[in-house]
Amino acid sequence: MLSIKNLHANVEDKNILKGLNLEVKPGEVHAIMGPNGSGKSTFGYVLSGREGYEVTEGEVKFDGQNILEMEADERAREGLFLAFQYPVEIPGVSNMEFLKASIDTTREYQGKEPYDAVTFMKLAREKCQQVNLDQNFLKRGVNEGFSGGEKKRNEIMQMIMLEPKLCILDETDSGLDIDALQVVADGVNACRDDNRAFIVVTHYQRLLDYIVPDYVHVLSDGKIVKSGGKELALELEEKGYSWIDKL
Amino acid sequence: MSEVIDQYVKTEYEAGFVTDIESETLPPGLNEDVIRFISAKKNEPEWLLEWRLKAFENFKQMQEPEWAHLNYPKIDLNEVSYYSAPKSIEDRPKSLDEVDPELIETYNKLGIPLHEQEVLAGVAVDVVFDSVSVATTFKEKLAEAGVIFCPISEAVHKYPELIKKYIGSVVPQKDNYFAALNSAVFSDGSFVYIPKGVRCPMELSTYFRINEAKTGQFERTLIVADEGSHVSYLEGCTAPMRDENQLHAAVVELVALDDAEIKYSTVQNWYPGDENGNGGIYNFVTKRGICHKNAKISWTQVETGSAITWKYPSVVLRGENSVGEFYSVALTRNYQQADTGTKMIHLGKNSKSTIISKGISAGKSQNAYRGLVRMSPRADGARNYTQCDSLLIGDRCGAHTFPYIESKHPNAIVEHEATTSKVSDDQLFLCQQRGIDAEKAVSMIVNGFCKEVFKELPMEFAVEAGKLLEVSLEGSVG
Amino acid sequence: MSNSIDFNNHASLDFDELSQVNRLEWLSSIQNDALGAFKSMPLPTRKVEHWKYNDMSFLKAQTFKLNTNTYEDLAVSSSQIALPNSIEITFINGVLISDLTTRSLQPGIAITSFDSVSTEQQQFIIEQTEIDSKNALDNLNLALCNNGILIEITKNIRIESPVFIRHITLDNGAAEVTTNRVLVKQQPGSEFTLVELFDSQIEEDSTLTLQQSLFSIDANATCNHYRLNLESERAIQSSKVESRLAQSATLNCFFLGLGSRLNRTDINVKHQGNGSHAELTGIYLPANEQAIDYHSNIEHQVAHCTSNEIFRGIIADEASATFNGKIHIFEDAQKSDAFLNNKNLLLTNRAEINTKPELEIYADDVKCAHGATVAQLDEKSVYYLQTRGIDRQKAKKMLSIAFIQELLNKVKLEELNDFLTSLLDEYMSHLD
Repeated sequence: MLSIKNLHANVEDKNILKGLNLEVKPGEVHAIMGPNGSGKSTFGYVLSGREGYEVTEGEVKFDGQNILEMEADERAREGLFLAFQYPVEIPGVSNMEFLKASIDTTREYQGKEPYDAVTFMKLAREKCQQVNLDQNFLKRGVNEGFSGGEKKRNEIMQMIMLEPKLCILDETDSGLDIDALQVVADGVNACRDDNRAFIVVTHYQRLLDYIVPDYVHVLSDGKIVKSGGKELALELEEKGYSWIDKL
Repeated sequence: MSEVIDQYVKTEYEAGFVTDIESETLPPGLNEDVIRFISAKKNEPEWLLEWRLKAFENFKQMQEPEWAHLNYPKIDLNEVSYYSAPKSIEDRPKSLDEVDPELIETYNKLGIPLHEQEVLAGVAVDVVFDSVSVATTFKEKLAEAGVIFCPISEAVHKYPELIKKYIGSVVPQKDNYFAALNSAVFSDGSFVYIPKGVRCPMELSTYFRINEAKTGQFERTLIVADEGSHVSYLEGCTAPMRDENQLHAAVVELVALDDAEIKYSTVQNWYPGDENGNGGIYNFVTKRGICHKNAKISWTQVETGSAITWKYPSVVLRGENSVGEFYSVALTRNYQQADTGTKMIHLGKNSKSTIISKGISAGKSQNAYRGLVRMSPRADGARNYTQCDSLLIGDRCGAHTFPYIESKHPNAIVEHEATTSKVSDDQLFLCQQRGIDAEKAVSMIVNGFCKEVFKELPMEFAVEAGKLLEVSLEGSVG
Repeated sequence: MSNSIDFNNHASLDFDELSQVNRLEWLSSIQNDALGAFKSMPLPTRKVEHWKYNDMSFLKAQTFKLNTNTYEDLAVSSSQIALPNSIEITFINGVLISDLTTRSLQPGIAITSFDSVSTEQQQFIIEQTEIDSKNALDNLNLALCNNGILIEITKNIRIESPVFIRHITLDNGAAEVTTNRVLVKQQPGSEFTLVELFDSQIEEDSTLTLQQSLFSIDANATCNHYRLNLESERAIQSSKVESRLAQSATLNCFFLGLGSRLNRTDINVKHQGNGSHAELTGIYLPANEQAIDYHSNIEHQVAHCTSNEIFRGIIADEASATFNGKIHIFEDAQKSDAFLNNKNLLLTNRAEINTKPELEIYADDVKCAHGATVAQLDEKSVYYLQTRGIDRQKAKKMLSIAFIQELLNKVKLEELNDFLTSLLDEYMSHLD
């Protein structure tokens, strides 16, 4: 589903990703762990096509297509979803309005029938409940005045609604207490199926107790330096990131 | 982000078609004869001619104001024609059926409901085409409620006492250069009177359109809400695309007597000029209302048009507990310049005012808020809250805030806040990551920025305003 | 009438008639231009936007003598404030009376009177001088300005002792115009503190003070400037303080407006180097029939500069205050961060405040905000203090002091802080 070969990327002329390789198949959950500054967030931004993140070398194929030439919104409509570490506020634009615009355009692109207003509302309310958000939240501005936990749950709620093929979760556990973490993880786990893949980017092993990965990769200085099964995360937790340097 | 915005397509001004109607137009020039001609054309009583001539005398003593943050070549008032009427109006139509079908077609193109639609919408419409009021709908139904809604030229004959009493009572002839000019040459406009205790059964609406080349439009609107009455009034404006600049100098006077309420909404979409700054309407408008005891006047405006906007809808809060409100969205793009805002003059005890102003600048435009809040020595317990937010799109435009606060009462409270922001890269990226393209994203973010104002508009207008903003933005960003 | 200025007829003013004024040869050419400009301009009136609230045309009612006294033998010791360890310089009625040549100063600081500056210094002063196209009185200052000092701070030197300039006015038998200039030239990396006090002991005459202090702050230098106006209510003042900041330079300035019948101060800050920062703090406390008017204009001419401005005022009796605070972000001055806040308390219904915070912005990636309020003391707070046994009058005073006190924290000079604290106590105790 996703094939990354020798990916190099710059941010403000600084080389951050330095030859990253990764293969993700449908149904798999990959965890990418790494210390601060290893390029974790850059990885998510490069894949999703953020402006200012310049690919200098390598290729990224998503379902066989080269996505590097696509705009961010095209990639999103192709089914690539990024759950942000710090979701931004958009004052005055209601969650409902935002979700509707997002889902309408995505479904249209994918050749699916648009939801009628009633179905959409019903679905939105239902999904709100699933991630434990009050329904009033749909009327509020996007992330406007939300707590850290609410913002993260909002991300997951959008993910569920959009039904993407590939979900990249960027430090989704940061700033969450245990209860909120459980809600978020439940949301993610409910979405897991044979056709959908996840890349879970995280600093701490904690999240992986809740979202159990098939593979764990360690990112250091812009490259994947070690890959393994879910045990690798525990080993890393125990020995610390300094252990990586000694490898 | 600029890259994304650069990709925006330019849109044409949608309302910019010319209506091919034979008109009777006065040759350009400003002098006493022109005023006599206009007055005679309208068969006006002597007192009104005298009133006009007095205004002209005053006008001749006055200078064009230069304090605004606007830069435009001086207007040669002798290049302007002060009267243009569709010829077929010579014999004023008795009903809509008699209105020139091409005119009707014009309004249909603009999406202005003249026929069936307004029945459903419950809107009574007065249409001012160039300088002449061409059709007023729903007169009978309004008459049942005792509401007067007619062209001011007609009201002069039918209700001379009301006109005499109130014309110039809110905006005196000498108020400013453009008001004085209007007082001398005004051609038509709407008159509304709501009797004591009456709640106007429908929204009243006027559409203005400047059609003829080289004409100025000088309409005058007067709304009197008698004690305890209530009215909501909508105003829409468009003009065809022309290379030369056209002048619009209107006067609007509102009188809200004790316990009355007037809600005045404007969607202004005069031709803003092309992307190189050629052509466009010069919009110099004086709008003011007087609020008596417990009365309320609310101005809501969405302004996307005009090459130059000079406009400060104001409220004189004369009575105790009177309330003034000003909600404004002003969007400028290309080479548009706007200097707009409000004045809240607090005279009465416990009077309250709220000002919410949202300015959006794009392209090479300049967008300024200018507002005055004055607390007089009698304004015990008066309060004002002002919020002015500016949004910049692109790095070649300007956003400016010039609030004047003058207080002479220790128990009056004035609070003013202003912020400046841009459509952030983070916001845009979040939208794009959710599949929403950049153009739609900018439009959503801008609409969100304006929400506080849009929610003050009557429903149909809110939709129109949102669309207008979207269309204006498409061409603007780049 | 020679050696005086009749504002009714200022267009006919001529230097030939001002023969007794000692003129500086090297400055005379630009002074002639300035006089020409002054003569051709009307006095500021309410019709001029920047003088909307204070009209200077009342000057026409009086003729102002030019000061020709040199005060050589006069020792004025009394001052409202003593700053031990400071470098003290005194002007009386605009005339420099301190002998600067005999001072021994810390290495790194030089203070030179206009009448003994070198050719090079003359050149610098002339460069800093310009004809003002807007304000007639600024040009009059320049035309008549034969007294002035140049303070120079050497590269990377921090001057420990503050320079303390006292501008004192005394009765001189008739209404008088007093003018002078203070120029500061800080080399890169230097730091110094300047305290300016305007103090008058006038009981009979009135004075018109036209003063300018101009700062040139080079890269990484820091300037701390305190300017206190405690003139008597017979004094009229129209002054200008202008600072130009080079890369990463810092300006901290503090203004107190307590004196004068009419005090107009224009504060101009020009960010001309990336990363410079300006901190402006001001307090104005007009009472009786005083009028105090601060006009600030902060120009972000280049990118990445920051400014923070807070002014607060309490207006008593029949006094009036005007505050005009403009933030001007130039095209391409991206990443500017500017904040302005102005709060006012009116104590009577004969008092008046006119405030106008302005934003003029030509760049999009900036953070700019301003706020202004006019309000009364928070009734809940007054009540709270009352429930704790404090009488209403006392409670109001406490809250008024608190309103101002916050800004005093910006005064880092200890003696000055003590002085201002007691000054405010005294001021409050006179309010009813």
